[in-house]
Amino acid sequence: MSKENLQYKRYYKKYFFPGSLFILILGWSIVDLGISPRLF
Amino acid sequence: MGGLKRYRGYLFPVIVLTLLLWGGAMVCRVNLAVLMEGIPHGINLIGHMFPPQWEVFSRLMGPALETVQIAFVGTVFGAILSFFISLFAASNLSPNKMLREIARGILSTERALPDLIIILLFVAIVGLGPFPGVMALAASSIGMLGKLFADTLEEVDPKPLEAMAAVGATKAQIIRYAVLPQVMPSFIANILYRFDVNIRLSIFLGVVEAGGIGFNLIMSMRLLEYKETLAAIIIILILVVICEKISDTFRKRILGQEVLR
Repeated sequence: MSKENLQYKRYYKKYFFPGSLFILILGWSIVDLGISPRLF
Repeated sequence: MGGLKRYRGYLFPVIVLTLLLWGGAMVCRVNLAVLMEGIPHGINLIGHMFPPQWEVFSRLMGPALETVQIAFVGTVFGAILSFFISLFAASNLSPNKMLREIARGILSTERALPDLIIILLFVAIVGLGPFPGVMALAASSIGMLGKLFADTLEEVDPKPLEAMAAVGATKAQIIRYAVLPQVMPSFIANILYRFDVNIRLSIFLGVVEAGGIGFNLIMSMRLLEYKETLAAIIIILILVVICEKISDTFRKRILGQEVLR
């Protein structure tokens, strides 16, 4: 496996779970609180 | 006697400190006798709170969740805005001196305003509900996070930046590949700390009816429903502890270091 692939694999392992959880929670919170572009 | 000579240097600061403390206590009318007399009243009030009204726990879960959501979204919005302002506020990355002064001025002004004033301002602008709460927390986060981010950006190792500039990298590329990897751990730690602060501020939003469990807390106190007040306090305590544990876990996972207890 090339060096670049190993580096991306390390980033993927380290950041995938927290990153996905973060985006899910952020999206759900924004929808649940009723924040939409119209409010701005 | 020789031993006492060592402490001669501390005499003047200790005298000044003692005088300042005494003067401050006089101005604030500190009265220990009044405090001792009031303790039985405090114990009586706490007695009225027990046992907590367990039936309201399920009803308070919704507002508690709203409190966390407001803090979370407010922190994210504040962090994004702070990051862009800090790029202009950092002396090594700002395009020119005037923009840097303007950015620093915005951050200083925002830090000078009490959080309560910012919250009331947004409630007056956009009305009641969770949205002004989110905007208020985002705005109040900008002052602290912007300054911390800017100070961190100014301390980056300049060698990678100079090396990338020498081979023709654009400003955006320099920030993405040379600056961000150096500052990301510090940024994440600051954002997680600000999230802890915003959880506590978010509880306070309920006082001004901007959403969350703070509203239930204040209303129960005004209606003298102290058992419900204790239930709300217990939920708030559990909330704060859980959020601290989660933020510690993510900090360890992302930063890979022990957090100071």
